[in-house]
Amino acid sequence: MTTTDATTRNPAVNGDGYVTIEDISFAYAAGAPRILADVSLSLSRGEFFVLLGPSGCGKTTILNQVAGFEFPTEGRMTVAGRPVTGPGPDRAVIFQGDDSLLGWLDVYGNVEFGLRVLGVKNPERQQRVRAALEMVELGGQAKKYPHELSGGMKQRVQIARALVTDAPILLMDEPFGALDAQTRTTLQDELARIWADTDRTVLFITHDISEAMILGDRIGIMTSGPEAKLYDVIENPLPRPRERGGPDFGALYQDLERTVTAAKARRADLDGEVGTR
Amino acid sequence: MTPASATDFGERPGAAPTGDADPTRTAGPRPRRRGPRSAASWSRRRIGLNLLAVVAAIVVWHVAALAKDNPLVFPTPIDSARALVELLQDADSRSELLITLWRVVVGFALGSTLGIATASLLGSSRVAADALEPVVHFLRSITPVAWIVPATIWFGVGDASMRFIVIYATVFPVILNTLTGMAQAARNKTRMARVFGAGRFRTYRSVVIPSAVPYVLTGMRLSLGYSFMSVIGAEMVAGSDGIGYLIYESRLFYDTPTMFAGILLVGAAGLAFDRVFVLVTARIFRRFYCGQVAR
Repeated sequence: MTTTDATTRNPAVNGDGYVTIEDISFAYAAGAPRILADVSLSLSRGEFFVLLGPSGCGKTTILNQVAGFEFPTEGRMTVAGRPVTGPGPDRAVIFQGDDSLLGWLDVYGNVEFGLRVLGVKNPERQQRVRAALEMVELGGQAKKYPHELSGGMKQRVQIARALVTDAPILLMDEPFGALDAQTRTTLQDELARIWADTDRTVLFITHDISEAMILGDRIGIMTSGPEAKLYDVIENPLPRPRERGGPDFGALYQDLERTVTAAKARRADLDGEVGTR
Repeated sequence: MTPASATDFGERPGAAPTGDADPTRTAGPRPRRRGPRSAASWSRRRIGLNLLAVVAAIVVWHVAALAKDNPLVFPTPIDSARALVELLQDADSRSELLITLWRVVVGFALGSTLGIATASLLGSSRVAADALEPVVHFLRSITPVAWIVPATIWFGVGDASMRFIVIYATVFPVILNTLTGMAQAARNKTRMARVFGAGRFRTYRSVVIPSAVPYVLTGMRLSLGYSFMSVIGAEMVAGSDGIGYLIYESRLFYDTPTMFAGILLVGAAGLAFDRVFVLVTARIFRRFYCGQVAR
C-alpha cells in the first residue's frame, strides 16, 4: 500500500504520524471519476500544514475526511493513532464562509455552543469563552449577533469557537477566502500569533500562495482535479514571525509559484492517461 | 491586545463582504440606529397607501352596486356598513363573532401544534418521511370543506366537527413549511454541531429547529388565513352559531346587507389577526430572523 505515486516528487510521508492519510482516493459513487487519487500525507503534532491547490482539486474533500464528514473510497486515515470514524471534538473545524455561525445566538452564545454540548459547566465555561474572545480580540463584541458583524469579525468568532474547546487539531477550510485583502492579511498574522501561543496542529486549506507562506511550516501542493494528487511538499524556511516582502519571501514565492504551475501542468500531461485508467 | 483593535484594519463593523440583506444595518455598529428613512416614516407611508387602496376599492364597489341597482342582489357599501354597525351594536351578533374567533384560535393552536409535531417526526426520520410524505400531499390537496359532511357523521353537528375542519385547514401549511425550514438548515451548521459531539437530538434541537423558525411562522401565518376560510364553511354546514351561520341564515330573509356585513367582519378579523400575529411573532422570535425583517 505504500508505493510512491509516480506523480509525487516527494513522497511527503515525513511527519511524525499524528495525523496520517494513507493512499486515499475518493469518488462520489462507485465508477464515478475519482476526485482524489492515492493521496498520502503525514502531519506532525503541533505543526502548521497548509494544503495549497487550485479550486476544485479536492483540498476541501481531504479536510472533510480528516474532520470525519466524508470518508475515503479507498485508503485509510488516522488521528492520534485511531482511525477516523466521524467528527469529534478533538478536531475543531473552521468552515469556509460564515453559514456555520448560529444567527440566533450572539457572539458569546456561538463561542459557548461547543462547551455547552460538551457539558462544561459555569463558571468554567464563562471563563473559557471570555478567554477565547480575548484571544481573537472580540472581547467587546460578545453581545453582538453575527449579522451585525463584518466578514472578518465573523471568522474571528469561528476561530474563537474552535479554540474554546481546546481541540488539539484545527481544520481550516479557506477561512479567509471571502475577505478583502487587508482584513485577510490581518487575520493571517493574528492566526500565526494564536497558533504560536497555543499548541495546536493545524491543517489549513488555501489557494493563496502568500497565505500559505505566511502560515505554513510545510506546504503541500496539489495537482488539479479530478484525480488530484499531492504533487510536492515544501518545508517553509522563513523564520517566524514572518513578514510579507523581503528577498527571502520573494524567492520562496517564485519557487512556490513555479511548483504550483508545474503541478497544474502535471495534471495536463496526465489527461491522456486518465481515460485509460 | 485591546478589544477595539478588531476594527482598526479596515474591518468596519457591518461592512460585511457577504452582503447581508438589510441596508439599514450598515449604518453603524448599533443596529437600532436608523437612517433618514426611519421605520416610522416608512410605516406612515405604508398606512397611507393602504388607506388609499381601501378607499379605491370602496368607490369601485359603490359604483358597481349603483350600476346593478338592486340592494337584494348587490348592496352598496353604505347599506353594508349600516348592517355592519347594526351587527356590532347587537350583543347576540357580537357573541357570534366571538364564537367564530374562538374556534379559529383553538383550531389554529391545535392544528399548528400538530403540524409542527408531525413535521418534526417526518424531518427526523427518513423512513417516516418516505412513508408519509405522499400521504401529506394527498390530504393537503383536499379542501377542508370536502370533509365537513363526513366530519358531521363522525363527530356530530357542532364544535367537534368544526374544530376538526379548522385543524385540517391549519395543519398542512405548517407541516410543509416546517419541513422546508428544517431542510434549509445549513449543512455547515449541523456539521459544526457534530464536531462538538452533538448527537442527532441535540443537533435537531439546537440547530435544525431554530433554523426553521421563520419558515414555521410563515406556515402558521398562511394557516391562520386558512383557519378563517374554513371556519365559515364549517359553521354554515355543521354549525348552529358563529358568523358563518349568521351569513348563511341571512339568506332566509334575503338580508343581503347583513350577509355582506358578515363577510366584511370575517375579512377584517382575518386582517387584524394576521397583523397581530406578525407583530407579536416578529418581536418574540426576532433573533431567529437573523437581521432579516419579518413583515
